[in-house]
Amino acid sequence: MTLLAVIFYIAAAVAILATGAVLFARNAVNAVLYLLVSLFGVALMMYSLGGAFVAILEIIVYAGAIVVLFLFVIMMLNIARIEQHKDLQPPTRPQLLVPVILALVLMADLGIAIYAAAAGVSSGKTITVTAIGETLYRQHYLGVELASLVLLIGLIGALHLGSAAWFTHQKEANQDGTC
Amino acid sequence: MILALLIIVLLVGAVLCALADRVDRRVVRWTALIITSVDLALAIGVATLVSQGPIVFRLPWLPSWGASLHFEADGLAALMILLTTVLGVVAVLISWEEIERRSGAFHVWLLLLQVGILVVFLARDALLFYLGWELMLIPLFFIIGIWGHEDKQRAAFKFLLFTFGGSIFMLLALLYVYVRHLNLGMGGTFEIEELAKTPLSASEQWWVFLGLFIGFAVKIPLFPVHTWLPDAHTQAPTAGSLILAGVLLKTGVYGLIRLAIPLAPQAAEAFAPLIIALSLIGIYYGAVVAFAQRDFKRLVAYSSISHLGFVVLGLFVGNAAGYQGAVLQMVNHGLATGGLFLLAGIIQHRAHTRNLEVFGGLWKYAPAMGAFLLFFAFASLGIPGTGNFIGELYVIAGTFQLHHTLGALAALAVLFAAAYSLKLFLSTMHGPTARPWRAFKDLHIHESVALGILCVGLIAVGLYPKLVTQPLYFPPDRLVPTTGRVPERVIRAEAARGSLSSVSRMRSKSFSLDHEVVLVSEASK
Amino acid sequence: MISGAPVTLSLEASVLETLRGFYALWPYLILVAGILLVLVVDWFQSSAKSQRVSWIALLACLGSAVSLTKLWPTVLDRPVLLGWNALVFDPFSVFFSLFFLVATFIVITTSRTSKELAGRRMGEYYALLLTATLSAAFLAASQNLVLLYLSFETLSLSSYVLAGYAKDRREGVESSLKYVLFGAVASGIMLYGLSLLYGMVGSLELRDVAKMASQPSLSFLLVMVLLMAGFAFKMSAVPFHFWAPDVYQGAPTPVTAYLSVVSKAAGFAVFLRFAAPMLGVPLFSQAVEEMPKELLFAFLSLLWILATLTMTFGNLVALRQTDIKRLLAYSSIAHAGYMLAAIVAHNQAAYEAVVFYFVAYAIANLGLFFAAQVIHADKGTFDIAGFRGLVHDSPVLAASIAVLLWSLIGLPPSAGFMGKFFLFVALVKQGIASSIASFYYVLVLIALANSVISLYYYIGIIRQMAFYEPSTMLPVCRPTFTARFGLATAAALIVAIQLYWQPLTDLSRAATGSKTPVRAVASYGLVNSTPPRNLAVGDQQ
Repeated sequence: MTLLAVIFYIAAAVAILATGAVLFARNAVNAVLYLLVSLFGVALMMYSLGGAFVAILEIIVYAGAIVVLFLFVIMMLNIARIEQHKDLQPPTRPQLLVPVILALVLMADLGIAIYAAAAGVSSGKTITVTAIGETLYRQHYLGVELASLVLLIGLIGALHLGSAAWFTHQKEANQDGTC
Repeated sequence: MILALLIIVLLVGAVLCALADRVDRRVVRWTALIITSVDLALAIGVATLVSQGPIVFRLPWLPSWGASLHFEADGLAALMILLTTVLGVVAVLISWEEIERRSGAFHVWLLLLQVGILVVFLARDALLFYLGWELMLIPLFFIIGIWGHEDKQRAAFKFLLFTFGGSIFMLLALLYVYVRHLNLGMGGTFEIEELAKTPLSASEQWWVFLGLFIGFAVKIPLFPVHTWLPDAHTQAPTAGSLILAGVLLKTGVYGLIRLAIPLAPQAAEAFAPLIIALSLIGIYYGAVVAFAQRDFKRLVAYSSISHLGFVVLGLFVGNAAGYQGAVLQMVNHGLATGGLFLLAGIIQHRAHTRNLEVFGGLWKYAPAMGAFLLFFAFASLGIPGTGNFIGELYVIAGTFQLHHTLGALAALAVLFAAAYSLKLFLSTMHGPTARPWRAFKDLHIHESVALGILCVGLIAVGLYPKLVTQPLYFPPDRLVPTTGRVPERVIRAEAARGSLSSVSRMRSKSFSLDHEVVLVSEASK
Repeated sequence: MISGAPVTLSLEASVLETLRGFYALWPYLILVAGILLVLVVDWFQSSAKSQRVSWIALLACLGSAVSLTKLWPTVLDRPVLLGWNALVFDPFSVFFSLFFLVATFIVITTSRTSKELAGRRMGEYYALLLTATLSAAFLAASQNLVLLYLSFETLSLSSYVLAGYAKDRREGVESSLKYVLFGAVASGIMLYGLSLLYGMVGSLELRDVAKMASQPSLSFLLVMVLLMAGFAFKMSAVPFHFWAPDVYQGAPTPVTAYLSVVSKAAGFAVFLRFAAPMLGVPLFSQAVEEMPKELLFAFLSLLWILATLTMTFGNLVALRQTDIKRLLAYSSIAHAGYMLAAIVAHNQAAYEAVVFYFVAYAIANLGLFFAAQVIHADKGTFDIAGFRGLVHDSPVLAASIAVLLWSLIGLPPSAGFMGKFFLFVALVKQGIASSIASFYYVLVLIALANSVISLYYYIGIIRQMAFYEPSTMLPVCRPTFTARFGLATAAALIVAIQLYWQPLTDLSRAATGSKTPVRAVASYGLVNSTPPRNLAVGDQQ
């Protein structure tokens, strides 16, 4: 087993564990933390396979965006209601224990990766940004166009449904005064 | 062309009735009467023309699928058409007073029902036949469901479910033959004659026949699948019962003759013992259960099962006598049972009940009605002079040729018919008056006309059965389904040559009916 | 998976390819223009006049359909490959594109009068509708796993939002959420299958995937099972049907009609496109790659079981429904089962039959949902009781509904009968040719038995309309002339197809390619090079 394979399997194990934990986490904030760990794990996996750029994208787009999205969710969910919901409270310390351990494992994994890079171990194939760009915009240009359409309708849909949730909530609150 | 006209006239009539509905009820009735009368005239024309050879009407429909608008009338078809159109006129006459609600729609459905039936009788294209077959369902479903009596919706639904359930097996069998024919490289065709040429192995024939037989047996109806019939008959309005008993049931038998036996002749022979057994059971079962009924219409309905048993028996004993008897019985049953249903409807319209136990002594109030009832009841039990006598005689004779015991069994069933027919008559017309019937009017003129038409038909067939048996041999080269037993064509050829003795030798292993052979030879002239 | 020599594409070649592609992409570009225009114009409309943008959507549909019909003779002659084999425009995909456009056109016209949508901003609605249509068309044309998944997701996403478009109706939002959850699971499973497939084949192209099928491997069957999750979700086939009743009931009626026709047809189209070469009977431009016998039989058995379960379940549950939209939802599940049954026959006749059946099914379903909408507008209920005594309110409406229901039962004279007829012909044909005849015959029998079951609930509605007097509790239904005219046209079409089905069979034949011989494929790519296959590998570190 090469060093890269070790990195890969550790990251994969963490990713799977963390993803499973997302499903079973009872606290919403906690679940997001698990999700973050999982995404970092996936990013490391990508890196170990030679996809450095994809790994970075994974962190910037997913990990970065998820946190922002979570913020949005809390913002849209009417502050007054948060205090009544158990699963929206900040996680307690014991709840934080597992994510922290998983994150530490990942950090150790990252340490190995840095060591490996310093030692000159590489998978022998690295997909460059240029290559990805060329493939996407030449070979898969239709896919890119379609993806932009997905984003557009995703935006429209989010706008519509988001406002719908707010709208119904207001209406119900006005009607019976309870939540 | 005259065949197409038969159908077009009815279709135009349906449209006219729908339009006339906006004007007045009376206009609708007269339109329907005129249309059906015109159709009757056309049918008489067909029946006379057919003696010079079969009438063919053929238009390309979808040539690449081998489907064509192929109508053809030979003697048998002409007889059935005549029966249909006669009953069509009678149905309009009898609905004159009875149908008060949504009369326009009623007549539209009545005419469309006849379209379906005529298509079935005329079609020589399997797809067209199937279309007509299913087309009969829709109008009758609505006729029973909307204008029927107390339990009409359940009856209508049961009718639809049974017949549709049966017909899918038929569709499957037709489809199989179609694809087999297609696979032979002979090209796709729905022509029944072409399909019959498809070489099918014995087991294939077995399955094909089974599928077709299930479809037709439900419609006839044969013994185990008959349960829809009493309900449908009881709940239907008079005209519905009339058409149902008079012609709709015959389409099943007709289908056996036209489709099932030609497509799978070997299987038909293999199935014959089973079918004969079923029809014998049906004859006795129908008669016994009929005797136990208290409901006028239910009694007649069960008697129908018994009579149709005779028809199928005659068809499958596999000789000319049986075949002629079967067709005779088809016609007679249509007229006699039709008459009984008319009377049931007429009495119910006046008395608002069909319960035989509350009737009695009606002769006093309505002697003309009583006379008609007497006549039809006697016809139903097969009194000499009416067509039923001849028909039953032929069937029984045919059965005797096949087997003594079976013949004896069939003959004995006539006694049962006498029992329920007499019960029907006695419990309505004779005896003490159970209720003080006030304003129980005798027959109206249009009712008398309707009943009279049927009477005349029955007597005519009874006194001169060649009316029915002769047209059977009109297209000279196509003949009696003998279910493969004795090739009838040979017999007829021999008969034509005058070697009657050889015919009787061939036939008379045990029994021979002289005038039957004479009839055959007459027909082949 | 990484090819040896790096493939480099010259910039000019790429640009040229893109420009040439516009020729075949033109109809779809019109749709995209329509989407954007609808959105932008809607900003300048007041809420009350928002419905006006439907004209733009209608025009976009019309324009797209017209240019597609112009494309038709070209592709009939030579199929067009686009975007380095990402999309293929052969008669099959062009036919389905046209089919989707016509259905969308009808849905838009019914949306204009829908009360459930009245008083809302409609710009987003029509934009979503057009996007869904566009992606459905791409789904039918996709020849590449990435594009297949992308269009699948686009269709799903826009359907989710459309299903919950009526914001303030609790059941609408609820059903939309259910739809999202189910869809996410199904498309997740499918994506897993797709990535496995890519790992096994090393190529994204369907033809390479089909080649893979010719080697016996159990993992390939596993992939097919995983992919079936996605396809079955779109077809609403058991066991991925659970969303259908709730969504059909909760969504605005025009959207329900859309989902039951376009979304389902897209599922079938992409499934056929995907599976056809492996089943041994390719569509155009596909090479035959026959699966090994055991694998094929295993796959067919899977389809067999799915088909049987789907139609039986759909019909049995439909028996107990009292809400018309729910009833039609279960009935549409059952119809998916019939069509799956035809695919089991895996011959040319089966594909034709599916195409034919879809047309008949679409006419009936679009008509019936429209009828439900019309009755709901006047009576305020989707309950079957709303149909009670309809024949007294409006005979034309009742008669048309009866004809459409009749067609769904599959009784003659109706297009539905011919559809079923062709389905069964395909199965019987295969049965006669095959050594395991009963495998196919039993399926035919099951399908026939199911038709009898379905008779019960369809006739139930006809009974309500014809046999009873209208309920005095509900207002009288007074459909407008356009509504009556539209439904009568649908009914007339159903009967006309029975009387003369030749044009439709010709069309379905052309669309599945049994008539036109397979010719060389025009690839609007580099003239003499095979398209690049994998990620180009750059310089090594």
